[in-house]
Amino acid sequence: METYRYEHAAMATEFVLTIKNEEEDYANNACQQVFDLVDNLENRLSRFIADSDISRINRMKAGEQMALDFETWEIIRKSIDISALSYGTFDIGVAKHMDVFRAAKQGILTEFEMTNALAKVQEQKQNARLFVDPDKPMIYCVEPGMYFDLGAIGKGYALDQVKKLMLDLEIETYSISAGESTIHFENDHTVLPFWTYPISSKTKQKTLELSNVTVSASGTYFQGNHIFDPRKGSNDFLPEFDRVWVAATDAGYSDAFSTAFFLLSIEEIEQIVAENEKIIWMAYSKDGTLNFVP
Amino acid sequence: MTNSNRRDFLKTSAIFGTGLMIGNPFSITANPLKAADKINIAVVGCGGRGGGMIFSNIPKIPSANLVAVCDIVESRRERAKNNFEQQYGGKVNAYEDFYEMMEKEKLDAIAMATPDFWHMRHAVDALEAGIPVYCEKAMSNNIADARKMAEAQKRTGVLLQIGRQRRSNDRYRFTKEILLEQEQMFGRLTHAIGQWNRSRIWTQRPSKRDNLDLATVQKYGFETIDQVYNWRNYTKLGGGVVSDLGSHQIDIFNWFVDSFPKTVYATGNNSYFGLEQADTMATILEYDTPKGPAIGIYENISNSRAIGVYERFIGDDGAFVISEGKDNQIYRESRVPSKRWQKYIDAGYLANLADMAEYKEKESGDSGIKETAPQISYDIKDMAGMDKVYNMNSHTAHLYNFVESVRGEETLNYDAIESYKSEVCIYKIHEAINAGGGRIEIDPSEYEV
Repeated sequence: METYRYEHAAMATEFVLTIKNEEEDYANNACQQVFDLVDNLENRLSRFIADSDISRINRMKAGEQMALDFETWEIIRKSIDISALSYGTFDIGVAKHMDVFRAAKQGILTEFEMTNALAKVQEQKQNARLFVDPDKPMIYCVEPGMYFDLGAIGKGYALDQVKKLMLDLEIETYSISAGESTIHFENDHTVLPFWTYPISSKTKQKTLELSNVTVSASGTYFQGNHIFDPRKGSNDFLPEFDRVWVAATDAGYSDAFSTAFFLLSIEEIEQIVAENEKIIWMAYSKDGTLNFVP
Repeated sequence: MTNSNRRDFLKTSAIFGTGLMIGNPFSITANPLKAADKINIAVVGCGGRGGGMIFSNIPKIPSANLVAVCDIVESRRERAKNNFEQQYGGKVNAYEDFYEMMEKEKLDAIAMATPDFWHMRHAVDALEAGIPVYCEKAMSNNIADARKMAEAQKRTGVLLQIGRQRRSNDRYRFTKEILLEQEQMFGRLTHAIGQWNRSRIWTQRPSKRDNLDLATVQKYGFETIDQVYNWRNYTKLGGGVVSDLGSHQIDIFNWFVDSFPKTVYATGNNSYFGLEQADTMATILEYDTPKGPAIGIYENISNSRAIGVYERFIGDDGAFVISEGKDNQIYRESRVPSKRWQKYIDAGYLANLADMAEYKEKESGDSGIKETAPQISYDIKDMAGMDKVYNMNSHTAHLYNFVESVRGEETLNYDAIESYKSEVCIYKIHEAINAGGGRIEIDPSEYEV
């Protein structure tokens, strides 16, 4: 069986699409459509693109309202759901906090100024009032001060959209990876029984056999201690885990919860996994061990 | 949204942190956009760009009512109709034939996203029937047909907007109207430089669900199925890389330097992909602007997307990079004192220090910075001083401007007569490329309709 592999830089990472059991021409065509879709989503959802929906939301003033793309509306609503389910540990309203950290790294703000700026930004966020319409793709700003960054869910959401496109193209066996932090596996069992996916701690390694599921990973090894606690608006949280994996039927969920779980206890995580049918399992590495929930 | 979806949504989404909530606050339910009289609009062409109009642009325009879609690919038009009805409600009729749609529907406007070679005939027939048209660029695949479209607009007085969407992009409009014209912030512009870098020519294949037969295809001017999906690669169907991509950016050169080229030098070839159309080109444009001579340098690259898509302008007081992507920055020329540009910050036009100025300890003498501080550049902040800020992406804003113009609430930002002028220099570039490279003079009268 031929396998076709494609790479594409987008969303500040590398997407890799692998297609099996299709004509080469058809796979090439699908690849173009998939990466075009990802680029299109980035243009709408990245806060670093001045014309995106998210950039324009971040510029809204008191009393303003804005029509959204359907996808923007959908991802914000999904983010609200996940925030509620994760006790506020997942939060898209932290763009200004990220800007403050970046300004400090660039030397624009001193450490003293950064600390004060974070306190002000957190206060502004707590006083902000943004409303998302439940019936139509609209957002309303009563009081600005909360600024969106979809970095912790955007790639997962993009994979959910890719899934819809591949369904439309009737391609049944493929995987797509967004920077290896979120990977969706889809397979026709008669073509490929399962995809393999290795996970490891410092001393253990395990190869998983996966079908029709998305797995997201988050950790402190590659990106340093990047876990920011949106509940406090500070980055002094020391994670309990070295690495977290979340498998879900919804790629947005796996992406978002892989970050959110870093800030929760095992008991809280077990409860969320047990109560949420979209999350199939989570795993974490701690002190060299690999552990699964459930 | 279905009832069950809404119930699930409200059940799980009562509150988010402290400041983001589900709801429509009572105090601001009035829509500032006048939507009393909706216009009935049809979209012709349900491929990539037509799909954008249908699903991303029209739903954001309160005064637009999508009533019909038209495409010769049955699965494409049915998918557009069904998905739109499912997402946004309403009733949309789907047609294979443009003229059957014109006859059966009571249309106030038509938006066209068809291959270039169909634009002239459909647009002119609609204008003659008194129906305003929004037509995706390029106007046509040849200058003679583009001229016929501009003449039809002039003759009938019916609106014809061409889809070069940067003309309705708030940041581009702000740069032109406030920074360049009102404030003269950059002094005399001497250079305009632009590139569109992409990694491959779009070659599409029918999806497994597409059910297009050769007889249908040939009825509509195509010779093969491939031409339907990849019409841009054929000289008799499309305008080529300069029309597809370059015309967006060269039009901005013309707009910002307030003139049209007096000469074009261009060269290009199809050596990379070997298709009918050129995949690689470069051009130099010479202008006599109201402030003095200026040069435009423009390139299309089809084998690497690494450098992106941007326009860059150099003036004697400053420079700027502008794009619909990530590249947007404004630079003050070193000899211009920062105090002179402070007024632009005070007016809310620009932000500097990565918009972190409010967090600086202004009273402290020692900044505490031990590393070298970064070079200061500026960004557009609030688009203050504008008569109108659309606050929409440029594609939606451009179509919104058209719809509101049809309703008599606005005037077109970019009609066919204005567009024709940029098409002239685009086709002069083609002429130079097709001649194997060369320099062509353009008489000012050639720009007139």
